[in-house]
Amino acid sequence: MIQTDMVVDAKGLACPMPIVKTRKAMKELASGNVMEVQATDKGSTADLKAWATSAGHQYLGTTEQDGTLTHYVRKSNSDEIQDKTYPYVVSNEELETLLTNRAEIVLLDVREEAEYAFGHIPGAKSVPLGDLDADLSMDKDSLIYVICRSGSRSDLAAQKLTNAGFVNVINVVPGMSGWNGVLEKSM
Amino acid sequence: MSETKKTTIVLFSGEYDKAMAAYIIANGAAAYDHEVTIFHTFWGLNALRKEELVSVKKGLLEKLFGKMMPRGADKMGISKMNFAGFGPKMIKHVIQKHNAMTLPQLIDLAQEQDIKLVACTMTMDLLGLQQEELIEDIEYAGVAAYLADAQDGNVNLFI
Repeated sequence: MIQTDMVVDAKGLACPMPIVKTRKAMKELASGNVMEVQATDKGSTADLKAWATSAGHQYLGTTEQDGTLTHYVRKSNSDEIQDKTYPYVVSNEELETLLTNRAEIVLLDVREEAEYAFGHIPGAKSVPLGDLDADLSMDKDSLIYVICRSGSRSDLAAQKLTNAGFVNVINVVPGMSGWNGVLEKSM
Repeated sequence: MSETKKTTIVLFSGEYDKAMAAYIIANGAAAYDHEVTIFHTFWGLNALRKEELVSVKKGLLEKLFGKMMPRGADKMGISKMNFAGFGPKMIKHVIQKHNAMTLPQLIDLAQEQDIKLVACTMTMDLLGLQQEELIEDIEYAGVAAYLADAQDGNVNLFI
């Protein structure tokens, strides 16, 4: 099960209700959070994808089980446009080289669980930004690379980790939005 | 997000299925955060009629028109396979079977989503329909008001 912040039940409803319900619920959702929409309408996948893109939200993916489609959408987050302030950064390409050379690094993916589930770098560890405080069990000296979608959440995470006493923290910019390497799914 | 987009639909037809298509698109567009206007003219006005008989003063011709046209969305016929009223019964049955929404429900949803429902006053005069006979919370306007919405619309449909 993928952890989400809100569940919208649109099972059994026909077009246009899944979209109408999603839009209504989306207003209640905090930006940056993830919503799952359960629907049985076969057209809802294409509808939701198009709707989310047009509304500026991030469509993550859809799973199907026993005829029920579960769509995952992350509400657009205007905070992500903010300036990145953490000074130590590497590019996606540099990270890829490190991974190919099997360097001794910890790769932290600080995106939401659903974003991670629909595509992450093999070997990356999922620790959503919100859960970072609870999960600081790594060795303080380990070489930590932090990645998110655009480099903003990982920027915050890198600052958090540095403040918590980690000494080798590096932000990957831009992150998954520009990642062309291998992807792995976990569902 | 950029500025609000607009969808305008002219509902000219008075058939259940055509009105249903118009209202489904309208409700979908509202979910896209469009500003939506449905301009009801000619037979499309019948979708806005109240189901109950409203007694208003009318001439003979207007009375006849009023009697011959469907009173409200639920009474409309369908454009194909109407079979003297049996067609609409069938279509309502399949709507229920597939959990889709009926036309009156779609109209309620449209009002809930703040879709602007406009009745064309010129055709209301022609068909002898009066404001008292139409549902509440709708607007009354003519072609200029419609064009004002449509000229900067992103989606314009004539159904």
